[in-house]
Amino acid sequence: MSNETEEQIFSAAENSALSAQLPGLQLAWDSTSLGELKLCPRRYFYRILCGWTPRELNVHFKFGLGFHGATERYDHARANGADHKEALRVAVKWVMEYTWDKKMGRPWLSDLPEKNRLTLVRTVVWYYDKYEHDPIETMQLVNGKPAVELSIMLPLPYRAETGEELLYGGHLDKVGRLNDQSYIVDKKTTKSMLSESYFHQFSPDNQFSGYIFLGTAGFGLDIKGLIADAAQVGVTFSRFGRQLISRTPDQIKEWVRDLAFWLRQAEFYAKQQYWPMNDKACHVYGGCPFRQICAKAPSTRAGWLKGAFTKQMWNPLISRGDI
Amino acid sequence: MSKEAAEGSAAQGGSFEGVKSPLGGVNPRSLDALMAEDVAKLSDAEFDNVCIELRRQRQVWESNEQGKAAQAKAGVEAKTKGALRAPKSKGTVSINLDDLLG
Repeated sequence: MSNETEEQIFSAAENSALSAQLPGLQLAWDSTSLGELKLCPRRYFYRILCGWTPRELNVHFKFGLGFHGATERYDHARANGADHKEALRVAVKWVMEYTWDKKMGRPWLSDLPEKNRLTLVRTVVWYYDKYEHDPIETMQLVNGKPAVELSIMLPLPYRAETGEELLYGGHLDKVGRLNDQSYIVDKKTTKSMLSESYFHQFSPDNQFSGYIFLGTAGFGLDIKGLIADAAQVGVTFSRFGRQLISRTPDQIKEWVRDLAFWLRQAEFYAKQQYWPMNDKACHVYGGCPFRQICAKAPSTRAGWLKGAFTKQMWNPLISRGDI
Repeated sequence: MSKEAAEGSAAQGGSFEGVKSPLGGVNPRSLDALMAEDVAKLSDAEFDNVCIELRRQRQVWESNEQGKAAQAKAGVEAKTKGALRAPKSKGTVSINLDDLLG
């Protein structure tokens, strides 16, 4: 794997989240990269260190980004003085632009009947129809902007063996107040029913534990927990549900301790310049996009990757939401 | 289009009242037509009409859901009143073949 590895991995000059001293050692982490590492080191290697991404943006990913983008624009418009109707128009305009394929001169073509241009616009309109008078109030930053799509990066209390600083960060959808208490709000879109079992998947959960850690350690707020703000998207309807996800301080401490072990593990792989396959994870979450690559003979994989994937760097240090 | 005609048309499935197509058409465009359109060619009024039509669809969907919920509740109440309740299990299964075979 080593010749292949050197060819494919981004350098620190290309991706500032990586070590300048040890190729393949990631220093700045987020829930996506940590999640890939926990799931399968080889998947992490392909997706995060090499940046291989399927040519077609995953439908679920595109839909989720669209919902986030629209609500972010609505919140900004409201913070700038727009009323509900004007802010909704801004959000809908943005979604329709986001789902317009300029190159082809046609709407975004999705192969999922639940997730396409119409269902995305519908989800945004129905969401604000339900939450026009939202009991969760969006907090404001000192600069007057709403506390939405906040990028944050914190130094961790341990370093890499190279002596370099390790960081953990993320992008919080929103910090809001409900009944005089602060919560992180995270929006989710799903085809699943918003039942108890849907919300159970978030405890424990790598992403949500990390967000609560970031909210408490990063903003100095007394965060009471996280509100999972979910939208179930069907072919003919969108339904909404919210549930509080909490963690005790001990649970967060445990998560940070586990994080140290995982990052040490990542360092071990980088030193070996080898990221093994976890072949028990090929079928989770609807199937790994790299399963088709791992199924090929090792000597042919680089060629297959170049054919079916495109390079797109993942760098948690690049902030989002600056509109 | 007269107000009555526009209302009639909207009731039949998705035209809008009082909005002219920026492409020069006289008739307001349906939701499907707007969804197939480039955003640059839509007017503010048409964006608002997208919202109005989708909100209307939500009201229809919600009233259907409420109807289903009421039906389900009525079914449960009928069962608890005993009309459709199965006999209490004694922990064994006894099948009366005479009943089954008539």
